[in-house]
Parts: sequence; structure tokens; C-alpha cells
Amino acid sequence: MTVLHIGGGRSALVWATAITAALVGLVAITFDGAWNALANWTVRDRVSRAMKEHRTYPPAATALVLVDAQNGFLTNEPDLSESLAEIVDFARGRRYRIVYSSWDGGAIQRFPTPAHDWMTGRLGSSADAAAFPARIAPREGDTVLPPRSAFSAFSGSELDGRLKASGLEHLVLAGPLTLITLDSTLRDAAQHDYHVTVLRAGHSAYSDATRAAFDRTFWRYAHSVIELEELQSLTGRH
Amino acid sequence: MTLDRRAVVRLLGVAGLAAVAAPVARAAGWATKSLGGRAPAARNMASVRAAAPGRISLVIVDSYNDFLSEEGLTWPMLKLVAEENDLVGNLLSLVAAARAGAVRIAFAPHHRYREGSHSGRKYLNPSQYMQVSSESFAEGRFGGQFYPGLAPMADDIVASEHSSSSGFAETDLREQLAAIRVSHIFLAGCVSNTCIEATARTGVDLGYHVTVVTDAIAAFSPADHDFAMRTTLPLIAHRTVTTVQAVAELRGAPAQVAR
Repeated sequence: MTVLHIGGGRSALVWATAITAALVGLVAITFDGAWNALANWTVRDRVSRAMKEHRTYPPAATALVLVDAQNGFLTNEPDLSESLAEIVDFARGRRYRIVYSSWDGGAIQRFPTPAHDWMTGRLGSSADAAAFPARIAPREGDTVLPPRSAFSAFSGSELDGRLKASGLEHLVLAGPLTLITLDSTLRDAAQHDYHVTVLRAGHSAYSDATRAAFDRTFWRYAHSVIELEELQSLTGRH
Repeated sequence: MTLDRRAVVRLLGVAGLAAVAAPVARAAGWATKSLGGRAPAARNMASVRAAAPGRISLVIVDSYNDFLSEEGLTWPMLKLVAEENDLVGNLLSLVAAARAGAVRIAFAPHHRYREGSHSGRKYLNPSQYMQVSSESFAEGRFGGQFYPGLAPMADDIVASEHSSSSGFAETDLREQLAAIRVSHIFLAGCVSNTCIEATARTGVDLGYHVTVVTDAIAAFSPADHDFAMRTTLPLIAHRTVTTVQAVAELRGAPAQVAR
């Protein structure tokens, strides 16, 4: 039997309140901003329920947009290469349009950011750094955009124009540069009124920063941020 | 289980100590972050000015009552980071410094909620869905008005409202900045990892030199803010600076940068 000897019934409520407050304090300390975390979770849950109705992915209206799946950005990431290859195979199997966007830095940037410097360095790392790996290379019928110098695959109007002209409204985004170009592309896709799904490519071997991008920011723009397996099960009936 | 009075007192003592330690630890964390967020020496303002072909503008994003006033709709979400950063105080300092230094201020306001908001869209994105369901920044109401002191004055630029996140996307901000030959922007306002970062990203893609003032922005949780301030903004923008640093630069900035 549990007995709480705290001396006198009169102060029991005071003690109980104090202990509860202390425990809440401890939780708040453990999770910095626990209230915000709870509120964010509630909002995210509500948003994700509301967005589920869009998750239809009809083949004629769905495109996989591969952002910068180039050798130079994949060399040290075997998991990511394998994962992107599975994503491309999946999209081909579902007869989705596959759109390739690639980055070449364009003319010299007037004001290069650390991201530009890093990407330029990676593209200079080998002769075939700018090319797509053979296993995910474009085939006839795919859409290959001209290389760009901006972070966002939507910069200029070419991508938006071609997608809208083909009636493609459901976009599945994937690419290796989560923090740089995938993020910018996602924000612009949301701006341009698409149903947007981001695939968490990489077989769950995410860096902390990649995971943070998926979990802290991407859900505020994308209708779904999911693994390939979940998209496979959502689209199984096609 | 038997818990005597001494054990209870001990537990309360630990909790009390922890309660005192929390803000101290957080402040220490913030101090470290501020140092970590300092701009690399190689990209300092001196070299920026020497190379600058145009003017500087201070771009204030979404300085609405809903975000910044204690009676605002979204304030409870922003409060933790906003108070740690002294967001309002820092924004007021930046605006005062820009006015003193004859730096043009551009306001980039979010879409104000109104009847039928976003109704032309087929797929509301999560942020738009939340705006419609919460009626945030409502036109004609307190929340959709600019916070006192952070409202446009006669010579300021006021861009058309952005519908999603980036202050540049489908607005006239770029044209208005181009009209006064702006090449460099300082960004401050709300929210660190969404509208601020989106505006920085589009600004960079449009060819601007982008400086983000990392203690004059805030997010919906310390972790969200921390992620933007430490990881993404230093990567995708040109510089991250503190308000103290930005104030000195804005005050000293000539109306027209050399060349």
C-alpha cells in the first residue's frame, strides 16, 4: 500500500501542487520550449490530417522532381544514391513524369554564399561530377531542364510553366542537397500551388541537420514529408 | 512507497535549483549561439562595401501585432524566442539605426487574412491552411496592423503582400528595391525558419547580397530558431550578424554605397 507521510492533511494540497509544478518544471527543462513543442505538434497533427485528402497521386498528374541528383553531390553518400535509384525505379513503375533539374553554378555568382562555394567545390571534384549517375540517368520521355545557378529549381519560370502546361499538380520532390536546393525548391513549389510531397531519401541515415530540416521546417510547406515505403503503400492501388 | 517530509523538501529543492538553472543555461546557450552566428571575417562589411554596386535596404518582414504584441494571436508561439532575443527591442533599434543612417526601409508584409483568403488556390500549403483556420493578420483588425514603431513611414517602401512565405514571391518587392538600385539587404522580422529564411533564399536567387540579423528574428520554438540560425541561414545567406553589429553598420552606411 502506498502511503505518503507529509504531515497534516491541511498542507497536502499545497505539497501536491508544488510537486506537480516541480515536475512540470523538470519536463520544461528537459525539453527546452516544451509548450512550443506541444503546440507545434498539435498544429502539425491538425495540418497533416487536413492535407491527407490530396494524397491521390494520379499517374497523369504526378511528377517526380529530382533536384541535383548529380555525381558530385552523391559521391560520399552510398545510402543516398541507392535510395534515389529506388525512388526513380518507383516513379517509372508508377508511370509518373520524371523531371531532372541540375545545378552548374551558371556564370560566376556576383555574391557567392557559403552554399554556392561548397557546391562549386563539389562540382570541381571530378570530371563527371555534374553528370547524373548512370543508374538514374534520364530516359526518353523524361523532362530534363537546363542546368541552373539558383538554389530553387523553380527560379525563372521554366519548371512551373512546363509542369502546369502538362497538367502535373502532384509533385514528389527528392534530392541530395536537403538544406540548400531541395529546401528552396520545396518552398517555391508550395508558393506555386502544387500538392507537394517530399521524400526522405537516404534510408534513414540522415545527418542531424537533414533530420532537423525534415522535422522542423519542411512540414510547414509540404503536404507530406514521408519515406518511399509510405508513398508506395499510398499509391499501391494504381 | 513511503515519502517523508525531508524527501519532499529535497525534491522541491532540486526542482527549485533546476528552475533557477534553466534560464541561466538558456542564456548561456544563447550567448554561445550568438558567438557561433558571427560572420566569418572574410565576408566583413568593409569588403562588402568596396564591392557594392548599389544601395543597402533594411527589409522588415511581417512586423504585425499578431506576431509582436502580447495581445497578438501568434505571440504565445513566438514569445519564448522573442523574449530571449529581445526581438521587439532589436527591431526598433534596427529601424532607428536605418533612419539615422539614411538607409531605406522596406516592409514585406504577409498576406492579411480576409474573407475568401487563398480561395483561388487548389492546394493550400500548411502555413496557408493555418492562416485561414486561425484568421491571423486579419485585415482591419488589431492583429493585421503593424506593431507600433514598426509601421511604415512616408519614405519607406511597402511591398505588396506575400501569399505564402517569401517576401519576394509574386510581390513587387524586387521592383521597388530595383527602383532605388538596392543590391544589399538586411533581413529582420518573423519567422526565422519560414518567412525570413524563404525571403533570404529568394533574395539570394535574385542576386541580392543578403545579411540576416539573427537576434532580430524569432521562431515558434527555440529549437526551430536555433536550427535556422546555426545551420541553414549561415549556409544559404551571405552573412549572419547581431543587432549590435547591424546597428553600427546601418548608422554608418552612406545613403549611396561607393560605386
